[in-house]
Amino acid sequence: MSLPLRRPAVAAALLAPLLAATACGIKPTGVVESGAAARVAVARAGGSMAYFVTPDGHLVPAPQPEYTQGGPRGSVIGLLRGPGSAERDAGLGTRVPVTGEEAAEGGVAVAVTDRLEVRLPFPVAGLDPLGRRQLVCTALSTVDPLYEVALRGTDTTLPPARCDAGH
Amino acid sequence: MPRVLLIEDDPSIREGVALGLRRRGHEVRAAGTGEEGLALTDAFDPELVLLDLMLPGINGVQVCRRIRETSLVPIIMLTARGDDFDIVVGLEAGADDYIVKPARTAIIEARVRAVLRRRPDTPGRHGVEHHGELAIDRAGLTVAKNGERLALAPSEIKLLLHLSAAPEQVFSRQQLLESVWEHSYHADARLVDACVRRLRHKIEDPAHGPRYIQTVRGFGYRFGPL
Amino acid sequence: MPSRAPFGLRTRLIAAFLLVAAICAVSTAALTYRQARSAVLTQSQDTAVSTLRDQLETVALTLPLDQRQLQRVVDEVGRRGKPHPWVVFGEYGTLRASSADLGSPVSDVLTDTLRSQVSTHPHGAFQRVTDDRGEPYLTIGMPAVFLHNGAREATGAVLYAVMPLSTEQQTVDAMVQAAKQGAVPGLAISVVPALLAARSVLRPVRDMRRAAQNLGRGRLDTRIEVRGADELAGLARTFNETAGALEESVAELREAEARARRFAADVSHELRTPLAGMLAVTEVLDEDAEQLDPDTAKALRLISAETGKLAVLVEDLMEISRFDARAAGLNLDDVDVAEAVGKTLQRRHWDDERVSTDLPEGVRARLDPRRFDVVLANLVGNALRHGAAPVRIGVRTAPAPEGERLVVEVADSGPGIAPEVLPHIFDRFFKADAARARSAGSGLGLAISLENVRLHGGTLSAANAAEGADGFGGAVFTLDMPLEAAP
Repeated sequence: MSLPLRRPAVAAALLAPLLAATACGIKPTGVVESGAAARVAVARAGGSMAYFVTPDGHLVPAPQPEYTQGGPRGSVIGLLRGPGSAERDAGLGTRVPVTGEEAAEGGVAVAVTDRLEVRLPFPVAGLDPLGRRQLVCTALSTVDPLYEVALRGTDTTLPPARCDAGH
Repeated sequence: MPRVLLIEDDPSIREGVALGLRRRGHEVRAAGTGEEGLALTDAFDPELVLLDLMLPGINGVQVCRRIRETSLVPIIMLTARGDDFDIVVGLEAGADDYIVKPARTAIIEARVRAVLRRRPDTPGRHGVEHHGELAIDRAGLTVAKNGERLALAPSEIKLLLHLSAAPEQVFSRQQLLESVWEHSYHADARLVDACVRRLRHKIEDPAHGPRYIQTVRGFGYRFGPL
Repeated sequence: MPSRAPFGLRTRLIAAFLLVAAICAVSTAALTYRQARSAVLTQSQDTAVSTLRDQLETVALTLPLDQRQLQRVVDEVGRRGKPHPWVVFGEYGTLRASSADLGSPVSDVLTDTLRSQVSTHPHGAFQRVTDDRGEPYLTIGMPAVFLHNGAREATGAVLYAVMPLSTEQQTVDAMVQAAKQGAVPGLAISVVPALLAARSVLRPVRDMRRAAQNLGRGRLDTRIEVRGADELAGLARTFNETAGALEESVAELREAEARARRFAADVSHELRTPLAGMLAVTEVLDEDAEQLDPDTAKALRLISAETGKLAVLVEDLMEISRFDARAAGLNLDDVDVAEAVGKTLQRRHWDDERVSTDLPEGVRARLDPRRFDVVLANLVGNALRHGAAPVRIGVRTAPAPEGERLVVEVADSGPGIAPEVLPHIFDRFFKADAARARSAGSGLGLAISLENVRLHGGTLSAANAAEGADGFGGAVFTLDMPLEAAP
């Protein structure tokens, strides 16, 4: 006869994990992803967008109604104007040099081949990655996002990149 | 010489015992069965009966009872050791003593003489003594109760004489065996007890407890106190 | 068994039963509880996440958001918490809004992990947290995305809903309580079947122990009732078969022994009658021998003497047979022990310097005088024959729990009994000295003495005395029997 009593260790080994698995109450969890994000209706969603940067380093689109007809070039000019008052009130900033509208009108050019080449009136080698992403996404905001964008500054041309803002 | 009636069914014992006793001067008549023995009791008028307990036909105990109905002749039973129950029944039926077989003639003769000794050794006492309702005549060896003579067997009267000679003295059974029955010290106390029962039956008042022969627990018997 | 459990079988059985019951109850309760808890929580979480998503999808945004617009959205969504009321926090850039009337527009239970998760990876997400008081909350992050250029794209606005889980907490607590309340009486109730089961197992075991004890005490007809057809019943059946076989062989042995004893008794009995006749006439031979020629006289005396011995032997054999047949009984009488011992010695003419006695006066015993005489005569006779004079007899009484004892010691001055002989000294016809083929006794003296003492409820033992200062170093026989023998 092998009574469980004679093997208290076995009995304990059987019970312990069971009890551990049933700790009472509601325990905190880690972050659990649950379903898609909420799709909201956004006014002027089909038009030109300039992408600005939140304080925690994310890109946020802001419509540029004045440049809706301007295509990629208009969008980029809108970005180089810098955040407007509404954007600044919401804490949005930019990592791209703000040239002002006239300088932008004169200095920005877009060539379309198998990709978009955006010529900019400032050096691009020193742009931080956020700034590059701002420029790429803004340039692509009215065209097929599958295009690659090459940024060509006064100093050099950066390797072509795609916008990663949309999903 | 004493006339002895021997009732014994086994021829070799019958002849051997008879031969031995005759040589010692006894007049012996032998019977092989109880019926023959009873007939001889009347015809021969023995002074003593040696009675084998294991008899064919009517057995020794019955023979003993039948003799006692009419006679106070001393009766000695011949028994084998181990026939304990028969010994007790025989003693109750009125036998005075018993001998365990096999026994030498000297033993048998000693028993016979002891039983035949009529008077216990009680020196200096003569005449009739009165104890309550009992009148004991030591010389005549008779006992009367309320003037009526009692029929007592030899062992019974000897026991009564011995006890009454020293009233209120306690005698152990072994002492009584030695002095009344002339047995050795280590003999069978049932002889005494059976005799006391028979005696009480004859002299005591059945309505009350024993008065004359009293039992002293752990010791034995005494006469009185009245 | 390598180790013996400290408790009885019953305790162990019940404990095992309860342990199994407890494991079953606890594991069932635990698994049910886990399942139920997770079902309750999943239900609440899924409802809350999808409600937040649905509510957020009904609003239209104009980018970039300003404080007013964010507050409007937050208020609107904050009113429609499901399954419980919630507080909604909105974050956009540096803008913060809360649906709570009072308090901070920023929740203190939202974690940075949740924030970074929803902002870098725009999907709905939730996290269960506890505040500093230990109260559980469900926090949900729901980023607002919009369709731009054929792709879903984050607007940068994220709504967080914070919902207290107190209801779920209560439900879960209630389940724990129910499990506890169910398990404890359940365990208590399971004591009853545990006791019954232990009983049903232990009763046959107890029966068997009793039966084995009875068997050991010699009641060989002991059998166990066989109930059912389980292992215990099989054991009982085996026990019964074994007991039956044992009884049979013991009965056979006893039968054989009884036959042998009956034969001895019958032979003795048949010898006794002719001996009785012969013994009665030996004196005739002895007396007449003197007148015959010497050879005939010698022959006759021999016959006479041997007849006497034969008679003693047959008597002793008969006596032993009666002991064997348990037909021997005690004729008890009250005697003075000193007197009884004295008479034994006197009757055999041993009351001289060969035997010294130490007899306390006034010791009265209840015994069978004839048997006591036989025992003492045998012991003293044996001491004089095989040991050497002087023989010392000591009588004393000794207290004992069941009544006073009479102790008689018979010590001789001989060389003692050889150690290898000692265990057999009471055997029938045992001859210590092989050369002395025939002694004066029948060879049954000590055996008969032992039986006589046993009949009195006593013991008789033999030993050798240590060589003392008084010079005694011989054999010592000690008789120890109740002062008052029971009939």
